Amino acid sequence: MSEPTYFVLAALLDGPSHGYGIIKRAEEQSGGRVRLAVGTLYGALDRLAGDGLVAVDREETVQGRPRRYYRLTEDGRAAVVREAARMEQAARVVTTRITPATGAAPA
Amino acid sequence: MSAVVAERWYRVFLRAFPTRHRAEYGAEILGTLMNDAPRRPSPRETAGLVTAGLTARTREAAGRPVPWWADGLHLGLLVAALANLSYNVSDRVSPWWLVVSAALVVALLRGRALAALPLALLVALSTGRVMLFGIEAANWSPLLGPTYHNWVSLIPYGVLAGGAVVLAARRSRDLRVRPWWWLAIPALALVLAWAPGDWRYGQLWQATRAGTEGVVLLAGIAATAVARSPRWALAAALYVLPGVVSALVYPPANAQNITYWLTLTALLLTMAVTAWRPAAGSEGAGA
Repeated sequence: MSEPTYFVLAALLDGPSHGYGIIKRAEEQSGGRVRLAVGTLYGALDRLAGDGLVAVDREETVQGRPRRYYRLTEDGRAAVVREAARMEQAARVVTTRITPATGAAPA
Repeated sequence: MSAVVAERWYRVFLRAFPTRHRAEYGAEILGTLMNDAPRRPSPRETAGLVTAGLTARTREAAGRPVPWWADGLHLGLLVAALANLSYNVSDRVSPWWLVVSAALVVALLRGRALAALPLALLVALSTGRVMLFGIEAANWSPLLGPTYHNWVSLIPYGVLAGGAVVLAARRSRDLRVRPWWWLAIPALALVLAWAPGDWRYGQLWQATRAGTEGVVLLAGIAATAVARSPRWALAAALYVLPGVVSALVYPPANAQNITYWLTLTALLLTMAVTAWRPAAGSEGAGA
């Protein structure tokens, strides 16, 4: 799973959100690393919806424009949790071998 | 610059997305883009619309029900027909033969395999008539196009005829309708053939040909990287390999031509390797 996909799914863990909200939350939660262009986000949402990982929760109209809220499906939640566990395991390979103060490997 | 201009700007670049995607998300994308009421369009968002739009188009092309080999064969034949038309434009053949060559291109662009079959056979038989029926066939009719005098140069025409037979034999009407902008290639040949100074087959002509082939092959590699389908590599192989065979049988006289064929071969190999290499993060949906 690519990093942008991971942060898009992670942005929906707390509940449904609209496109603008997902972009802001992904940027915030990735420490500014993932800055999704709007076109990229909607390309990803279309694919994720096609794969059954996200679904449209509800739709409203704001200032004459449609605004849809997207939510994680069960499969989407399972996919992002699985990816987080994989990365955690991968991180442990390194973090358990270094001393926290210096970041250097023990002699 | 006002928000209205910014919205108009984004609306233009939204056209990079396929129609279905635009109908589904277009208004919402614009709404999200205009959320901060930008006073001027952002280059980053504009680039995002173009790349995401082209990516969506590529995925849509690869997701159609037509089998990958039929789609690749169809594209390969279209490219061969475009090359044939472009050479005929440069050779200033009779208007009647130009109509035949152009009709073959249009039939393939519209995905009409049955209409393309007789035209492809006519083009292949006419171009190969001296090798098939003897030297006197060269003067059969002023309505026919140029004819080649060796088998190696006729390989692309054999591919064209054989491929058209295969596509017609499928008896399926699922071939894609391809965009008209492919006609930019013979249009370019037309400009070079009729521009003052006669640029036909000169340095500029060769550079334009190599540049066009390079751009199309690089676009094929990009599409393959997105969709991981061998369809573009098959189409590229149908175009590049006959030329490589010709270069092996009649080795080019100068280093420039050798570099040209090596570059086309390298681009083809890159495309083939890209098609069969698993995508990074292919276990999930890559964004």
